[in-house]
Amino acid sequence: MRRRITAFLLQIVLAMTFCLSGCSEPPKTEKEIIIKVPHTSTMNCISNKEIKNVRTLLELASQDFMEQYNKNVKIKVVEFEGGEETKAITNSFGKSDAADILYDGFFNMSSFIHTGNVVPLDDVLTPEMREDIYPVFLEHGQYNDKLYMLPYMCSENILIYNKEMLEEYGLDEYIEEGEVISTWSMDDWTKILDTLADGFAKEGKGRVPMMMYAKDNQGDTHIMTMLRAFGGDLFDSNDQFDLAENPEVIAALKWLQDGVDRGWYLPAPYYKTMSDNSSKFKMDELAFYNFNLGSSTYSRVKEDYNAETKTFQKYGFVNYPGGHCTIFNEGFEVFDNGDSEKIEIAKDFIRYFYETDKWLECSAGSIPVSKKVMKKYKDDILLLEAFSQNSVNSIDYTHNLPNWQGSENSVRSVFYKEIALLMTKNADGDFAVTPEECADRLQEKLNAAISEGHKNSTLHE
Amino acid sequence: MKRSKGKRFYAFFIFFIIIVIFLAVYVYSVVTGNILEDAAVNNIREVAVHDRNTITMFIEYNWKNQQRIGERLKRNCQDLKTVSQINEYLGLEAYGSTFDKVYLLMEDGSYYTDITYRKDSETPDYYPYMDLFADTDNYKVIGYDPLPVMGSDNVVIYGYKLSGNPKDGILSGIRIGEDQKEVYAVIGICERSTIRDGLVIENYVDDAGDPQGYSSVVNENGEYVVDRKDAASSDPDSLFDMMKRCDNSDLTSSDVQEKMRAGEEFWFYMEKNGVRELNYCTPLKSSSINWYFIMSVNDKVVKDQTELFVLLIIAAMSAAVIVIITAFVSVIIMQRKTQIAHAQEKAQSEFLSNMSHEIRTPLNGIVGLNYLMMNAIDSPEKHLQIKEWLKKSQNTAEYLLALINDVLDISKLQAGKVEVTRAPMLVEAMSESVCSMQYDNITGRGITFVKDLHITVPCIQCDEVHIKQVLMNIVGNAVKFTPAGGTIRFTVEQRMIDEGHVMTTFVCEDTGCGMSKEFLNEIFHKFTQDRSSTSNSTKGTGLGMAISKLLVNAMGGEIYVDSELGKGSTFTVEVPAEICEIPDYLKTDTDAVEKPSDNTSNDVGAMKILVAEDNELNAEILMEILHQFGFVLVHAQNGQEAVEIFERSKINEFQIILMDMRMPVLDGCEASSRIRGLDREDAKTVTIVACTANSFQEDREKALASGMNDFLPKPIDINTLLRKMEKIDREKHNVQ
Repeated sequence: MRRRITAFLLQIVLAMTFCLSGCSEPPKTEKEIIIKVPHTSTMNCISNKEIKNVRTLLELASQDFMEQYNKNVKIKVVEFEGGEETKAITNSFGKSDAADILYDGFFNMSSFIHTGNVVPLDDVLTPEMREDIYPVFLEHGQYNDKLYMLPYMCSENILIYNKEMLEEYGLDEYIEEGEVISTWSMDDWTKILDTLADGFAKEGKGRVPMMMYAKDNQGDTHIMTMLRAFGGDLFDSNDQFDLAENPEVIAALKWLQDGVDRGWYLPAPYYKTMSDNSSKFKMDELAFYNFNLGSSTYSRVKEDYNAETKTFQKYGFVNYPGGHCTIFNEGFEVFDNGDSEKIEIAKDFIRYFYETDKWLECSAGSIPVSKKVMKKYKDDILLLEAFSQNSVNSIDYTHNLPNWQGSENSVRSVFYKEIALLMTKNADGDFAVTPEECADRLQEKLNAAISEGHKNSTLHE
Repeated sequence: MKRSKGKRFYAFFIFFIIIVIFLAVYVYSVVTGNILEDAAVNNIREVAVHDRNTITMFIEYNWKNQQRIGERLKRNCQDLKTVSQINEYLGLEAYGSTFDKVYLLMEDGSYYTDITYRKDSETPDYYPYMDLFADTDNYKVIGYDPLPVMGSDNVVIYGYKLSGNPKDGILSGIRIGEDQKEVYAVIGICERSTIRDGLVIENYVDDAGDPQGYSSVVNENGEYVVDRKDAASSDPDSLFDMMKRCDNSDLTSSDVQEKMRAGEEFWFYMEKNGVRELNYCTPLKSSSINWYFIMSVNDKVVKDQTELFVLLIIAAMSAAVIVIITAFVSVIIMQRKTQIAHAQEKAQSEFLSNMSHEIRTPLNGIVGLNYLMMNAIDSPEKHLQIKEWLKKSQNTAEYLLALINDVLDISKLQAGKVEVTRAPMLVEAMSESVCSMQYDNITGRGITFVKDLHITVPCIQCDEVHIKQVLMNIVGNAVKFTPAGGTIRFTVEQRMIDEGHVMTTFVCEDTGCGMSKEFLNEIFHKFTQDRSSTSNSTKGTGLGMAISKLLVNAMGGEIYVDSELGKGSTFTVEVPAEICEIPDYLKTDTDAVEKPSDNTSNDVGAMKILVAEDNELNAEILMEILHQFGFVLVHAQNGQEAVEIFERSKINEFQIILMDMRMPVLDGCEASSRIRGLDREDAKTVTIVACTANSFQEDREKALASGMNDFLPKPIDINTLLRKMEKIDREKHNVQ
């Protein structure tokens, strides 16, 4: 009896304690997969007009995936501000909002490979997928013979130019009609830019011929591409920057620097952004600017195209000085957040995404990495065929090297500052650095960045 | 019953204390929780006000920067002729300022940027910055999107009028460009992130480091100047839109708008997508800004701060309550134990005193009688008196035996050694047996006996031996205390408890002397006898009713008594029992209810009995008594000898073996076992009766287990022994 009374009293005490302290929710059993995508990932998807950006694409695909998948999975697509990969990805490692899948451009993603958190995706590729994807794109996603980034589509960057400006100043001979991407010699480039600069200066309306910017790291790879304007490679056989005492590079730096005095660029280019140049081009006050199939000017290009005459009225296309174009692959990375089941689900999602035609075909708009999508849509997308043929002029500018971006002394953090310095004049009216000095500084700082990256690099097995 | 009431009282008392304490804790925790919540809100307010002031200072600092830009422009304006010159100048101004872009708004609404000149609304991407100054404010700051600058639609635009309103003809006097238009205002543009980055609430993060609080700035229309989380947030662009879409909110969007218009500082809770947030709203303290700073903090942060403290309070109070209750219960238990120990000590003392008195009294009589008889044995004239004394001595000895039996019974009952056995019992047969055993005693005293049996359930699962013992005691008492001419009524009734159980009620009502009220209260206590004037009985041991009550309680029943002095007593025994079918072995006995034998006659003689008894005196007495009744007897001094004698005997030479259980060399049980194990035809059939002073149930079971047929406790009741002999003899003859 005594025991019963004691038990009764204890039960009351416990019951009242629980009543006062409240009850906790039962644990959830479903797995949540987080896909992160930058806000700037716009799309020109022609197979599904509703899809205007990658986030929408992934939300629709993940919805379908969850409905047909045999596990209790919730996929959440989260956007982050473009250029804030460090904050959105690196700073989230180990936290509840860590990305399980990242969709982004390879040049932003390559650094993550060296954190040891990115899982190789070779086992995601079926023989059919491997056969279907252009090998060159797969190679861009590899490091140490393992596929860490699976390409989905790519943007081939070239320059778009305002034909009217060239015609206005008698440069018609350089203009090519139709869906053609031109390649001009450096002499031609110099002539064109000088002619336009002289003409614009006389007008006094603020028009300038050539894009140039160095305020931040946005668009830095385009500028880096122009370092090859006079030929040669930026890297040696050990994947180290080979810039100092490299005559081609020094010549290119000098050519770019001379452009300041020749009036090719917006005033104070060291304090201009790619966006400033974009605005200037849209205002018809800049002759040459970056262009790809996913860019915001693509709609203007389509409006400009005369289907009957197969010509462009206002715009023309040309490779960067030196004849190169840059390929920006976009695709997927999978992160290991300590849960093997989530890794498997993430891989299953990506495999599902590539094996489902309606999602794979959304890559048609930019350059698809899938041969079958390219074959199906090549006639439906303006300039697609031209871009495809021009891809032979592309260069692998990152080599998937570590510490490309993400830290204060990464390649991208260093490069634009040195270019800004190259474009800056001191109080005496002299440039702050000579092209040779710039080459020396770049080589030292960029290789230091890569060395530090190699030192801290950890690869996921 | 009294003890049970006491426990219940303590339980309810403790329960009451717990309720009171918990109510106190609850009220205290609620009050404390509110105070802590206010403190948490106040803490959030302090952070919010700090951030608000930071933003205000930041904005005012930017206006001052614009003022300085205007002053520098005044000095340099003569050098700014072409668009390119002005573009470059503005680029340099932006480079050296807190702005990402610096524009110059001209008197006609055209404006220069660091990359272009926008003339009028006909110009592509023209923005009417003049609208910023539609009212009379000299400073302006707005959040804006989209804006065709910087490639971003998330900017904050600062406007600083260089002089008075052009409508009033007050201009800056600064003229630039080829057409020498007057500069009206300096426009500074920043990415919103410049404000947002300064507002990271590092105080509010969860264990994983995830932020639990966000800052935002809204304008007078509720539009976010600085987004709640980040530019990519899918939340609506307006606070009021968000409030309309939210799951729950303390205030409506209209309430919030009204408070904002009134410039109040306020806070409210809003729940969205299952997340409840506290929103602290405070207006930016500047005459030209109608913005509100809002700090949204996950309710979890507030709860965590308050709940932890409240839980600690509850835990501490609970621990205190448990300690108090434990101490209280311990004190009660100790007091109870002390009381019980005292009571037991007192009871033992009383018991020993009573026992001493009760045993010494008859012993004294026996000793005295023996003395008288020894003195008178040689006087032939006193032989009749000696015979009378012998009869009294025997009666006294029998009383002494009954007393010891009762003491043993009550000891066993109190020690829990009496097990209630439940076996099919014929209620009528048992009742008839009780009545018939008392019948001669009753009628012989001139008492009228009325038997009234209303038996509806003939057979129940009950302990027949013990119920019979109780009823015999009650009826026997009635006989003792009812004078000649009185009446004793014995009634049996039954009522159903449920489908399988029945309550059998035995009532014994007499018209005897009755009992005093004082005695009624103690009737079930040990050694209690009513010695009031009308009751002069000393015929009992004073243990009978105590034993009866213990037995009835052990059977799950209850015993009641109602009595009035001089009018009689009524004893009621209620016994619940399971209903059962009449088993076959009882069906045959139904017609053969045992009746008292008229002849404990001498006709059972000629049987040969082996008496195994180590005590010479007991053996001699037993053999002499049995010899007088014509039995042929052989004595064995121990078990081993008994086995050997039996082994040597002819087949069926012995009909009975009276076996003492405790004997030297070989005890009775082992001897019985060996006899049963002998290879001879009467080894299994010879009747072995245990004779022992060990009268406990386990002794009985041990005897039967060793192969004995029956059990006869010492001192041996000669009549019982003879009845058993007669029965055995009859059975043997029937078999033969």
